[in-house]
Amino acid sequence: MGAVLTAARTMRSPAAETAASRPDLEWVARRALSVGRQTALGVLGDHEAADDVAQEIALIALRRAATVRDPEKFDAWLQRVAVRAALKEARRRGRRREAETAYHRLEEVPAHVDGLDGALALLAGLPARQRAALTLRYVHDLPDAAIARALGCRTGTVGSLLSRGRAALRDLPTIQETKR
Amino acid sequence: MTVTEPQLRDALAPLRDQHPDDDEIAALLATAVAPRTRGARPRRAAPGLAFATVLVAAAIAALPGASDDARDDDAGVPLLRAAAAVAADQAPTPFSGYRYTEWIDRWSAPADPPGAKRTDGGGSAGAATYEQRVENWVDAGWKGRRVAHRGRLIEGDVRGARGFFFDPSSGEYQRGDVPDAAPQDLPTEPVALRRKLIEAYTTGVNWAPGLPTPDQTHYDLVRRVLGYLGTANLTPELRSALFGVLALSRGVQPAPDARDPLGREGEAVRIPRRLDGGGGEFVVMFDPDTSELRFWSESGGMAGGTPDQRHTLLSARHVDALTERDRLVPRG
Repeated sequence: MGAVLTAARTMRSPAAETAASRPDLEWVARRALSVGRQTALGVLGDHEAADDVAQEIALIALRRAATVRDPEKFDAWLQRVAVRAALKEARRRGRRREAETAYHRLEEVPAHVDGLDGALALLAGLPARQRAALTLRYVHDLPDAAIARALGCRTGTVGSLLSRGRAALRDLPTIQETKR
Repeated sequence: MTVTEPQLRDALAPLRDQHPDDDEIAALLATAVAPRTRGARPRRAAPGLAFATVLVAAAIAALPGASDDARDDDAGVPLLRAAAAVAADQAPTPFSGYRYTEWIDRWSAPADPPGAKRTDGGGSAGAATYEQRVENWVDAGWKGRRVAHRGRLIEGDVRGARGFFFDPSSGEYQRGDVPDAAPQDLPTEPVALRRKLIEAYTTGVNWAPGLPTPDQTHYDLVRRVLGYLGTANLTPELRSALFGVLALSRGVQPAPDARDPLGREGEAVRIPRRLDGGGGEFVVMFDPDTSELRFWSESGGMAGGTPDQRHTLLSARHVDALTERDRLVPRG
């Protein structure tokens, strides 16, 4: 009985997992930079700022790699940390707020932009939390509950953010191009 | 008409292709090796940084007194580095008031009941194990109060269970032979802090020629660091640096099966008491989310005269007056 309990505790123990298979730091770095950059680019729309956020997140991930309790939840943790760091950076940079209207964006978005620039132009000018919600849903394919955890809000709020985001995008030229 | 989800997925697909290249990964890993001052914004990894990090690592290895630095096969080091990172992220305690800690200390020491005959080798005839509850109040200047309550015999002859580890006492907080500097002036870089602590140990005692030995220095350094982490009122930066000092020890290994006497889980490491890996070990368990110690123990010392011991943290909080135990002061 004691041996069984010991074995069970050992299997649950994060330290035991660490001892059995120490985290591959290169994998952690690669994953953290990818998730961090994708998320921060979506939220901030700025390559340099996104790289800074991604690197900051990757350094945090590397420092805590040894204490990863459940590798399966590592991505969720990364997304949560990434979106919060990106939103914090967005606030710090004093970017445009919720009050901005789609009308202003129509003037800024080029009519025919493809690739990454097109994706960034699509999100540009949206409020940061809407950009974050859209990025988590359509780039990382997260369900509402996971987005809510990442943003620190209720699931219903996520639905609202996504709905408003999609509504604000409906007339943008790049989307109209995609519709055809 | 609102755009559809497939349209948005297609439009944002280029974001999913944003991945780092191998050079970025190499530079990032090199950056992660170098210690970072808390609050400082990390600089973007540059290709030359890897070379610079190698130079820094070589310089650290060449430092006097760094001969027992951790080696690559010391698998417990990442746990201590992670604890250092967590410690640095904790909210600073208020400048006023005290850090209050309550511990259960258990000691197993050689004991000679009255009239007992010594063994042939001159050793003690028996041993006694007892527990003692100890409370500490420590202010930002490392001054305060220590109250040790009467001990409780766990096993052995009660007539042998007397002395420092058993009798009640009340007095000033005992901080040990720390460097003669205000806490806020101590280095918060692990190698520099370690050097400072060793310097205080080697120059603060009138040692006989040839002493202390490297083993003595290592043993005492680990004990002092654990003492400070456990009871002292420190800044997050200094706590982080102390975990960094532990991470510089040789032979640190994970202790995944360790449980504290209260059954709590946590991250735990083993640190040999001697540099050659022998002579018993320290086991240190801490909360991975806060870096607060949960317990630490020392074993294998009975034959050498040092009692086996374990110290279990029951509570740690910030209070604003000596003798105060329960009232919490908002942090930050």
